[in-house]
Amino acid sequence: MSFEYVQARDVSEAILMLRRYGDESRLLAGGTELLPNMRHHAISPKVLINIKPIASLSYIKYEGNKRLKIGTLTPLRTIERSSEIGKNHSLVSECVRSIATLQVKNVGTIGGNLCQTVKCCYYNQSHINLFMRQSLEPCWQRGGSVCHASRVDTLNHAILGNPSRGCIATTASDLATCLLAMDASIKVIGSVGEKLIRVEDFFSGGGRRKLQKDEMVTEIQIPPLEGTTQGAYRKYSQGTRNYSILNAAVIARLTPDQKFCENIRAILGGVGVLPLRLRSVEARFMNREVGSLDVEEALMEDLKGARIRGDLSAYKLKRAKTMVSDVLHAVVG
Amino acid sequence: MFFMLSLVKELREGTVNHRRVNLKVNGMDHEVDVDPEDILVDVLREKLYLTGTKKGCDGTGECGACTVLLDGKAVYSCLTLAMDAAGKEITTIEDLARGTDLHAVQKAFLECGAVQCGFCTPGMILTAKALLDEDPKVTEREIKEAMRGNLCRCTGYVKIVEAIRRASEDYRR
Repeated sequence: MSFEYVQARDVSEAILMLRRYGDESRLLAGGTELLPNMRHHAISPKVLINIKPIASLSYIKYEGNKRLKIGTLTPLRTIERSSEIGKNHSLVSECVRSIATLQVKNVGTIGGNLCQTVKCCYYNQSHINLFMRQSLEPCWQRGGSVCHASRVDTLNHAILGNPSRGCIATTASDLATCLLAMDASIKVIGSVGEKLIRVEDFFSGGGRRKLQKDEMVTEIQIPPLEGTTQGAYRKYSQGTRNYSILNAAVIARLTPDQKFCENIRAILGGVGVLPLRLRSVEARFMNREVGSLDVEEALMEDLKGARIRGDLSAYKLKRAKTMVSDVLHAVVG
Repeated sequence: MFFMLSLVKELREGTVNHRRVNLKVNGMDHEVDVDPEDILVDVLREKLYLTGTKKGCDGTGECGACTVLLDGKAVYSCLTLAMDAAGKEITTIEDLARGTDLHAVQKAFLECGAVQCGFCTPGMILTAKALLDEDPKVTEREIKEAMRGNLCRCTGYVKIVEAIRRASEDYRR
């Protein structure tokens, strides 16, 4: 691990540096994901652009209409402990609470969480696997033309939909699923100006984002939740601090008597390369009376075409169904 | 000899990045020469000889043995670049006791038998201290959540959680 270390004092300087160093550089925010990846030789940037000194990107604020804005460099722990977020956007608190460890959350940022790469035992998982990886030909993520994970039955990879440029690793960010359910947007600034991207248009799979080389995330905006809106988030991982194998988030607006569902967004992460919007499940509840919670049929529709290679992927599919059912139960009762 | 050779190589390639930074560790200023890739745990142990901070998982942020406090917050020093720690208050386990007068968390660990081989203990104690400094009225669930970043292969965590609960009572007095 050898690189040049430069510090950006403000956003415009960071963008200038991104333009100057291009693909050879990486932004260093919390570093809790970037540094292990560099130590595992998954990535070897020549320049690290430290953006931590940009204090103006660390904030939590509510606008008049209760629209939540979180600066990209806000530590996850600050978000978790924010009483305002706990009160108005408890789904975000719940999701952040499930992420990693106290030490990681003290330095790990919300922007970094969204911009992390994939987690795959054939790409970036541990020192032991580094030796294994060296004996295998490089995968798509490492510039090769093979996906080792797609040849085996695993719990951690996508079982549904198409690969992203050959890679079947899922989106590692827990917040991606949660923010997608909340219909959040991401503010991005680049040399041509700033723009707002909806979370569902932000990820392109395989740990990539739809960002230009000289663009960086500066803010996450979450719309207000109306009074009767409820949400729930569930995560399944190996151990409480690990990356999720599956996660699900549901947001629903019910009538005050809790009998009629006016609006719902249901997202399931971990089954596809990108978090999956469960449109059939949503249609099952949207503008209907909340009756029986039998969503098996709707889920079958959403998860049609799942690739079952063996016991692990069969378990994953089963677990996904149970998880969606649980999370719906928690929201629409 | 090896160092000279690598220095000559670096000079030729124009990649010399050594910098002298000021690290404030346990209230004392230390001027140290670091490379960009130097991680804080290595600098603490090998340049400042503060070997209370342990290195377990070797820089992957899994075991928590290397936990130190950076401006009062628990962080993994194996995932912190030494250069990033410049200008911040670094607290290591060496700063907790005042002579034979132990810190409340240290006392609680001893009283509850929360120490066995001791390798994870500095990280455990500093994480617990950071947690209790943040909010002494922690629940058992919060303790367990906060401590999930520290692995212990001997005691089985029950005594550790008990010790932190006892320390939290001490904090509140």
